[in-house]
Amino acid sequence: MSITLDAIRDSLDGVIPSVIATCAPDGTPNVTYISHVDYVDPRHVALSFQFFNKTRANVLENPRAAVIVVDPVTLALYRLALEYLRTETSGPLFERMKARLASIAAHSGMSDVFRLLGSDVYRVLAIERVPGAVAPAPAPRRSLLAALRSAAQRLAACSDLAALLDETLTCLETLFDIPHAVVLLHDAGTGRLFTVASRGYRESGVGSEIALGDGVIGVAARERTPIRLNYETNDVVYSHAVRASETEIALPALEAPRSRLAVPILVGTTLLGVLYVESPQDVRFTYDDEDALLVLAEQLGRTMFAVQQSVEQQGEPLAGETRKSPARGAPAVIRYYAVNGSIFVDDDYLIKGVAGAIFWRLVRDYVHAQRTEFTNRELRLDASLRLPELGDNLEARLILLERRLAERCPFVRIEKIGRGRFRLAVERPLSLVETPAGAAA
Amino acid sequence: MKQPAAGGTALDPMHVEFLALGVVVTVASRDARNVPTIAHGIGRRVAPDGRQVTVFLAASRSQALLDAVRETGAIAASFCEATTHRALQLKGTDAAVVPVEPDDHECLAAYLRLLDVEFQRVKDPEGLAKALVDHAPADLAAVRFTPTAAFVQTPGAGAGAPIKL
Repeated sequence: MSITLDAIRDSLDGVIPSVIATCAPDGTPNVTYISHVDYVDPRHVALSFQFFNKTRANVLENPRAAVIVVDPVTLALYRLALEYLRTETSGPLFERMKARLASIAAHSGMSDVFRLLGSDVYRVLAIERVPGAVAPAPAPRRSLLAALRSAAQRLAACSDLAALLDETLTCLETLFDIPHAVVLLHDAGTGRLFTVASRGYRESGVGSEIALGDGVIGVAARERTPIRLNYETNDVVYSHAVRASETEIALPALEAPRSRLAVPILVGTTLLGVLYVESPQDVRFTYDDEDALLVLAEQLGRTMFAVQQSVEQQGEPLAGETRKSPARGAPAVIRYYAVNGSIFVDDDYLIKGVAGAIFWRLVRDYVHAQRTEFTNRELRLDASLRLPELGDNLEARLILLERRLAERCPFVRIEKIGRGRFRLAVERPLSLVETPAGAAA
Repeated sequence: MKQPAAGGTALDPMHVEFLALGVVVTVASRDARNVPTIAHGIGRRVAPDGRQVTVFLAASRSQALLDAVRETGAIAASFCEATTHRALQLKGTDAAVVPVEPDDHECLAAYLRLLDVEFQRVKDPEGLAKALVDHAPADLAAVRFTPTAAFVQTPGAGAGAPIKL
């Protein structure tokens, strides 16, 4: 029975270095090491082009190559016969390989040496198992397919976004044994991703943001492709940027993650967000984990989309429930800066952007009109909030606001009172101060 | 088609010394249609005069390569020190499969001890050295050639630079 490329993907990761032989047109062979072989699809692999070296010169003139890869667990050796097809210098494959190379380079102390110039795509002509003794493979610790089946059912059963996000993180923790995970959603208006839920961190990081193209998460989002790193990397391009400004919340992150995987959450080709997981262990996530999480993210995206559609249909305007009696105690000062929608509560930063504008609208209605109950629909129709027409993520922003309030401002709570409806519960009097756009902050 | 060795100049003592370390050996050849073949070597030996190098292979795991050597005599062999990434590539055009000599087994045993130490230092998976060089004594094959070209293969700016022989 012939061996398929899918079956030996773990051997391609370069945990144990691979070697390649090529041949010049004059018949002179060449042999050298390669950092890793990237799986493209069941019939193609890609090799990193880092220097214009002999291997590269050879394959441009004589496309045949032979490679040996080693299974990192069983130490089985596989020989691949390849044929060079083309070089890609941008796009998902290139970005995926660039990130992986940065991590391998850092792991082998060669950050200055390794730089990806292109992804050389090869057709796999044959795969041969090199005879020899192999170590027994340890019993698998979990079945990814069983975990995925169970998780998909549990996600599909969720009827609101908050429960869906929590269920996703619970499934990752209990079924996939991934205790550190973050869900970020895409704000198509600003081109940024914001953290809406996380698990396994001291600070939840809810409300933190990252731009498309920044770090492992941003690259996965921009290229709509999984980015998987097997080792700790010190390449700043792939690290979470340090957040210094007072209106920036730090992204949740392990101090020194050794394995990281970011997969895009897509519905069709529309980017909804990124699912990001990490581990303090080297080589924690394999190609199979990448596949499983990509499918899980797809299920998350589909359910997220369905939940939003169903919420749209509900939440009729309310008669206008008003507060019964004013809150007691010292007033809390809520400051709003219209320039970026940022909110400060007693001088402590709470949130900014659309979620900040929503909060300002709610507390104004609460203070001036004594309103306590609201619908998602009225917010969606409020032009002053500047919600994008499509994919406005309103539910996500409300979750974000609710969680930031719980963490930073516990005397104001958003309480769900039905589908598409919520109550603003306030335990202290509020004093509102607005700084209009254009005024000095 | 085998071609006579062009030079036959002795290897630099520094390179002979490097080859005597526990270096990982990888060997490539090509067939008459210029299709490359590759195999992990399981040892190396440099002639006392430094003019010829022998690489050892497990015949059962290197059949295509041995056939290619017999067919064309073309060879490239890489020698890499795992702890330092220092590496050297030698090429020749007169490679031939030669009989294993009685003391080759002893030379290999000493090499395997060095390789083991080397692999322990880089914390490679236990058994990797064995997986790469595992062979039954009867399965041992030897390929001898005269290096006619040598190249630095240590990753970095100088990688690929030719070394004068």
